[in-house]
Amino acid sequence: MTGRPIAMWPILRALFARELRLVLRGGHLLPVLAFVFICVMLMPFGLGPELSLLQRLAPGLLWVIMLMAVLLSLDRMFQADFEDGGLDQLLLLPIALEGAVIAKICAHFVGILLPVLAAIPLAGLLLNIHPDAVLPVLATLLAGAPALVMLGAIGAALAVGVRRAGLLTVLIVTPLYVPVLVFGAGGLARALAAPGMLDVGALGVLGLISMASLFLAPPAIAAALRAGLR
Amino acid sequence: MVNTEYFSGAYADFSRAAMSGDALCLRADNLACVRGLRVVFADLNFAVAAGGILHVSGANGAGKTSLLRMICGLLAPAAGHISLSGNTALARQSHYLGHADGLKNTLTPRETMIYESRLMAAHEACAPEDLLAHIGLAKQADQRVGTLSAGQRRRLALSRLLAAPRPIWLMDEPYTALDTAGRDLVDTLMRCHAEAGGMVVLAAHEAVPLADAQLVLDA
Amino acid sequence: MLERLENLSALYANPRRFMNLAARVHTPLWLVAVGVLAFGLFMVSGVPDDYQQGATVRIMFVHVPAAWMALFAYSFIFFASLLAAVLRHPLGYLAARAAAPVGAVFTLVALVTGALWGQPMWGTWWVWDARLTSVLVLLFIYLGYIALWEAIDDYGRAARATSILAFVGFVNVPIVKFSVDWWNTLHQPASVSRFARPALHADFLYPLLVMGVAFLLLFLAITLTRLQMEVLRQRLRVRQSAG
Repeated sequence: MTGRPIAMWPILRALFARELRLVLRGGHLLPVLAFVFICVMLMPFGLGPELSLLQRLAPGLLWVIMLMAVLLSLDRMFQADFEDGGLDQLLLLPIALEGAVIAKICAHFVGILLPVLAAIPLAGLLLNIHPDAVLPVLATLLAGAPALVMLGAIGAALAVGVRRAGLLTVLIVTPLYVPVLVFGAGGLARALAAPGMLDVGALGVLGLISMASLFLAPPAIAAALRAGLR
Repeated sequence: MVNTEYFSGAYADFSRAAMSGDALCLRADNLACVRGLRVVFADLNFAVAAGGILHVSGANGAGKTSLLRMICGLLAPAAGHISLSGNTALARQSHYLGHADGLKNTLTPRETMIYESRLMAAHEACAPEDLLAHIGLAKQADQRVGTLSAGQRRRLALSRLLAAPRPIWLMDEPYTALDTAGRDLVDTLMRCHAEAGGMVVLAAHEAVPLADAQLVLDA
Repeated sequence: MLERLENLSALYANPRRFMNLAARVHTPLWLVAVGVLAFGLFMVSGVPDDYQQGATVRIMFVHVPAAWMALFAYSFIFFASLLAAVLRHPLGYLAARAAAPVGAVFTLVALVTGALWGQPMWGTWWVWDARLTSVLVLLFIYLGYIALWEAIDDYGRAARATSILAFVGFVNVPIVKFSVDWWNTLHQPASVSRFARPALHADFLYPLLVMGVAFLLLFLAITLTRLQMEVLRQRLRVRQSAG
């Protein structure tokens, strides 16, 4: 038996590296990026091409689109592992499942959500966003993204192995996203109403939700994955 | 074909434990399995000593896979318990090779092995070149796992057993999809593992001459 | 074989004591619930018309207790799941499952009566008022919970997964409430919430409290009936699978 202590950090790093490679090679990024721009393209058709209207709506639209993009990207997060037996192997690793879950989510974040965030200014450009609004939009999205991905992963883990898991995930996760959207887009609206000022209160609450979900979500996700084992 | 030095080196712990008298022993006491609302098996008792190979057989649905998953903690027993010399947390003492192999299609065999050994925190990491040669995948080392044949995939899955020394090997239908050479490979690996003080529980429909005990589950 | 299964199955205890108790309580509980409801409705009919709202004020006596029950039922689900998880007793999971659709219906009633009340007040069926919006989110929390129960075939897995969701949702509810209140002030600066309750003098307060008690009894009665059904259904499934 291996009585020697096991260093957790190298294992987490290796898992992160493997998952990032899987995300990049799996071609999961492109559909999500495409989704963002399809949403952007549909807006002028639905709302009319009037530039001033689009400019007024752009920050809120970008928040909603980002939220939907995260929801969409969650679909395969645990499902593939569940189907190919990778989940069993994660449970046999010499680290807690919570740690493995965090490594996986970080890879998802870096491999999919950061590139999508980087594309947001371009999407904003198409919606005639005011140049001064770009930075606040990115700042609030970045502050809220950890909460979006962590809370979303709870839904993805609960729906693992279920028929039509994608729709179920959306139904489970949307109520969890309401506070994030409220403080993200709300804080953004306030910041834009008073240019040059970020709403510290709303951003603070947003960061608080992100921090809390970073600590509270992994145990829930791990428990959900364990409950889903056959 | 298989480098037996790996077993004598990496498995020193098991052999030492075996020689010092407090040999490892895998025990199941009054084990029961309920799936949904069906009792799959109940009051199951067995023991596997260090160096033992237990062959589990039984009809489909008799609970072979459930038993293997129970041993490594992927499934909670409805009653009874399993222990390895008194220790009941066996997830980190076991290698589990199930029907679903956990291999990722977009990685290459070489990458798969490198990650496996890092993830298992192997201290005496075997060089992937050697391992690939052992399992007969040297030529396919850098092509995607998704392009491998079923048998080659199975061989690659076997490499996980060598990623880090763990005393319990749990193998669900290990001969599936393998050619004669592949079956020999499975046998050699199991024999080396057992001789070095490890233990194997395998579920298989065919006869396993190598096994020194048999457990028949009847549905 | 059957006895062994009943002993073994982690999710099928044989709640004989509960069933005996339930059988005795069931009819009286329903009678009292209907009686209190009738009395409450009688009291409501005696409430004078509001000088501003007219007869529509009476919708409040359904709306407010329904909203209370929407929250109460979710707390019930949470505590039932918690008890089941801590005590490893399946009755809690069954109770949570039985209560969920009842709570969802009360939530829906609160929403519909809110809209009915709002129509003459606001001139439109739906206003993104803080309270209505929170209740709408609560309805989706219920729907997600029920959908998860329905989506997982294996009873044990469904029980464990839904209890995790119940815990997460329970933490989420006050956060949603807080965030939606904040959001509402953001978009309706300095206006008094138009959904504010009328001054609660005794004419209104007592009928409201009686209706609240009636709804609580109604919730308990329906949930008890559903819980008995759940236990019987489980028992039937065990019998069938044991041959």
